[in-house]
Amino acid sequence: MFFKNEIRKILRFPLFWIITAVCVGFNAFIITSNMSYERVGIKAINSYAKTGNVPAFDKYGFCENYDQVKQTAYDDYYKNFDIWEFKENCESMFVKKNSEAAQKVIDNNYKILEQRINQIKSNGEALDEYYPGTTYSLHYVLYGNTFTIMLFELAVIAILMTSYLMKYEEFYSTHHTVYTSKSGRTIVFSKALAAAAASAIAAAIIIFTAAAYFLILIPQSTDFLKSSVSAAMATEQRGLVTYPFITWQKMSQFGYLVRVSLLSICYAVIASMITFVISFISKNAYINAVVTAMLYFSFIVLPYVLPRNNLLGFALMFTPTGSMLSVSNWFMEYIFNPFMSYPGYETYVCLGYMLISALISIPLWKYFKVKNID
Amino acid sequence: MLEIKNVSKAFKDFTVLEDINLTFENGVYGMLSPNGAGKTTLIKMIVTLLMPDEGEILWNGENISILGGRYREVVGYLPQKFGYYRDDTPTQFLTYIAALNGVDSDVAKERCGKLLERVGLGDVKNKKMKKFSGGMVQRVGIANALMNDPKIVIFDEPTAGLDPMERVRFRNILAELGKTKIVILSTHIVSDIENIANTVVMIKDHRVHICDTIDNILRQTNADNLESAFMNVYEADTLINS
Amino acid sequence: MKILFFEIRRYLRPVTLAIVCVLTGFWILMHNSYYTKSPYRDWGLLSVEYQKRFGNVIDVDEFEIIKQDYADLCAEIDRAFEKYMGEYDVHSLDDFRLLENASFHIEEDYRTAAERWGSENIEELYQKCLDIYFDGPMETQSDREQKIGYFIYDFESLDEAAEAARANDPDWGYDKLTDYQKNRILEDCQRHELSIISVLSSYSYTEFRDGFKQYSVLIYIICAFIGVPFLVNNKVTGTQTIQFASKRGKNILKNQLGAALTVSAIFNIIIDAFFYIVYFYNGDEIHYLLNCPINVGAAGNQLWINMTYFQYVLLIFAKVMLLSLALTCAIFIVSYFSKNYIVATAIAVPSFMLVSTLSEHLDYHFNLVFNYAWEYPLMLFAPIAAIVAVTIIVMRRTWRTDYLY
Repeated sequence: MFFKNEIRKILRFPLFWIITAVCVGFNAFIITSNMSYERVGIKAINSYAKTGNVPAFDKYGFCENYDQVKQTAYDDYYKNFDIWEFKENCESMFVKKNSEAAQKVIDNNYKILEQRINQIKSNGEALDEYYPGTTYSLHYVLYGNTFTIMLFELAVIAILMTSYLMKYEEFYSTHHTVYTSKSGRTIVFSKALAAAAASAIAAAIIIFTAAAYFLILIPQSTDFLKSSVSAAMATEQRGLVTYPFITWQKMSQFGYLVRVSLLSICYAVIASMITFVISFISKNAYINAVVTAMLYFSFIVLPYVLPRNNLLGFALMFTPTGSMLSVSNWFMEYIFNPFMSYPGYETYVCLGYMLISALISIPLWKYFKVKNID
Repeated sequence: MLEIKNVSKAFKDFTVLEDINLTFENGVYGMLSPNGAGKTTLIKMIVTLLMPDEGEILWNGENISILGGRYREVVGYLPQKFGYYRDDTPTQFLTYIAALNGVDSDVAKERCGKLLERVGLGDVKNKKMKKFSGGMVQRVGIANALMNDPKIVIFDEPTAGLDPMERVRFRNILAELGKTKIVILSTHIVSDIENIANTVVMIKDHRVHICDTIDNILRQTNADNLESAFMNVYEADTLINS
Repeated sequence: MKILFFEIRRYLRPVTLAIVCVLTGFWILMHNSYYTKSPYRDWGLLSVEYQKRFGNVIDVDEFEIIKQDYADLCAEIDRAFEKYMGEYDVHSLDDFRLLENASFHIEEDYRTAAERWGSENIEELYQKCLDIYFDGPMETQSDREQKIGYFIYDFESLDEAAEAARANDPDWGYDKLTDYQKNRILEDCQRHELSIISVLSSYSYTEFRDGFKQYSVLIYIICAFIGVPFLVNNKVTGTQTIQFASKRGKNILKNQLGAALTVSAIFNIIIDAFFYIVYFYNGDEIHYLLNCPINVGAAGNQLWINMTYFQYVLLIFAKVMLLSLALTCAIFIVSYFSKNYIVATAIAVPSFMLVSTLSEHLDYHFNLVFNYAWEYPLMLFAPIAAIVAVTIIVMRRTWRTDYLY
């Protein structure tokens, strides 16, 4: 009911727009510095894909052997690819012994993955056209680099703006007036909604501008945007190994971008919700922001220091920050952590934390309802 | 002696005070004017929070902006909105303010105890101020203003939040202070001024309109009491204008 | 001083100390390689052993002794290979190296190995050799052999480096050398000496620099965020009016700035001391390396100024101290103008990131070959001078401006 009034408080706060603008500028800088390679090669491939003829400006010879490169990529990454052998090698390199139950879950996921690989091979996805991933690393630039940074920017904006709005009345000493009105303390829910909406707005602006700038820098053909993420040509080096992006469902590059963008907005909303929950017990906006930031930070640190074979260590793998750090592996298998290589992992983490925030807010709201307001 | 000579102050295009001339000697001065007349602005200039655009303020013949700390040492100030550290006790907070005013720590400790007794907070002097009522905080503010044994004491809305008994106690303090100090009291509560002020200052149209004893004001404005005099000075003008 | 202590006391409240402790705890958990005895730390032990035998620097005669040690060690390893792998026609360390290169498909070696052992046997034989060499009876010798090998490699590279400098070799990054730089490199290489600390080890100065970098980020975070709430709180609660109207007046800002800088320096020193103790004094006698000169046998990695390892450590600490104090100053000024906590916090976030980035860049800008001499002092002192200048200007203007809050 008071959503309009509350969101106006944030949208009229100059800092909101300043931070958003700074983030937009910074992301443009990140993208530019990562895409400083010669884009002549991409133009040439575009032209070749449209016309079937090798253009005159193909000075790096990308088009001359394009079909052969594509076939070799298919042979290397799909035709001769044994997912079980690959899984065993990666487990021996990265993963300690799992419990039986956990291993069952992992094996089940890989059965689904195996089916998906067969599907990719049979429906022609593997042979989709794309820019050579090992040369251009577009997926890493956009998702591994830019989106990872953006997700943390969005979290910072969400934490700051939510803290600001939740403690707005205390700061301007209007809490005696506001909390004694008819709507009383229930106004905090309007605030929460407004803060989440403002976080989503900032997220949408930042993501849209970054994605648009990225796509402008690639002289792209729509065919390439329509091509599958799992195309053999799109394969890039991922950490120590090179293997394709095997999505759980068929997804075009454009569809993948849209899904990642929408989910990123949801992650910004999660940050806002967590800050909202903490605001019930924090003294002022600064403490609210700092405690939320430290909670996010603990989500990064604790999974690395706690053993995974205990319940807490296991549970801490499924945190917003863990998911944010692996954004380049959303909607696809993640070989470095078989527990995160789960269809819908990133979505379940998102929904799970929204649910957890909502559940934790119930007893805290009960506490806030009767709390003394000085 | 505190002299205000030809002082003017404007904020952007809005003139607040113009050509103010006042002289303060020992005694209680009441500042009585409507909201927005410029009382708080004048007070803030006296305590050096604001600088006059024109004119000067002299303490014993010397400009207060040049005297700096040596002048502020002799000023005690209770602002309209008294700020304090909620996690401090009155003793801790007053000791801190005493240090800021250059009061020796032993003297500060002794004075702190006496002042808190005087304002009726002797038994809560070691309790954190976040548990205090508004009136209790205000009394800490009064004690704060007297902490450095000032020669000029300025109170801006000091009795807001005080119950009648405390108000009487406060008036007694003021009356006693007025014998040896310059006390400037800015308030809307006419009875506070009526009972203790020797001189009343009224500001109108950005200038000092009246600066006289209460008896003279009543005679000049044909009023029985100060409140009627106030209404005559300001409302009569409004009625004529309308 | 009394007022300074009052202000410092305000910073060092239990809540602040608790947050700093929790944050430092996270950092210790994240970067625990310095507290556990990981195998990589043992690389420094060889340096300590050589320091005790030869002093801070190895000269030509001492190098001959090391070469002899290495030859004896290799002979011992050869005998072990003969004993355990002789039946497979693997007789020496050289054979093992050949198998290693073949398994990584280095063409020429692969061909030779395939001819000798058969291509289908290469992987199996290599695996057997690995088991014996790394995990089996030759584990200690192999470990030592690799480490001494690096010493020999670095010593023998000095002539190569000198040749590259004379030829302005771009592969070494020597294509744009000035005469002064060339002479410095040649002088160092032609002396035919090697600092004990030069060799890649867990205690080379580059390792120290990269290790401390993580902790410097912690220091910058603490300095950026610790001061934010206090000035803003004074404004929000209204105590700033009382403070400015007191005898001390606006001079209290000097005390408050002094308190902020003192607290930042205290946290800085505590974290530095903690890192220094853990890094150097875990029982490995690494402190023997502190007097080793960095610029001897450094070839292309020389610093502009000759210094010992300890002096370099002090340089890094001093750089972090100066930058963190400058950051504290900047945040103080921002907090003074901020009307609420969020604005100051929002500015503190990119501020500490900028300072961390600058600090990291500074670490790589002291190199004689790749950077100009003026780069380091300019990059360090220019921002500090700018912040100090802004602080002075703001403080002076504050004296003259109206307090309107």
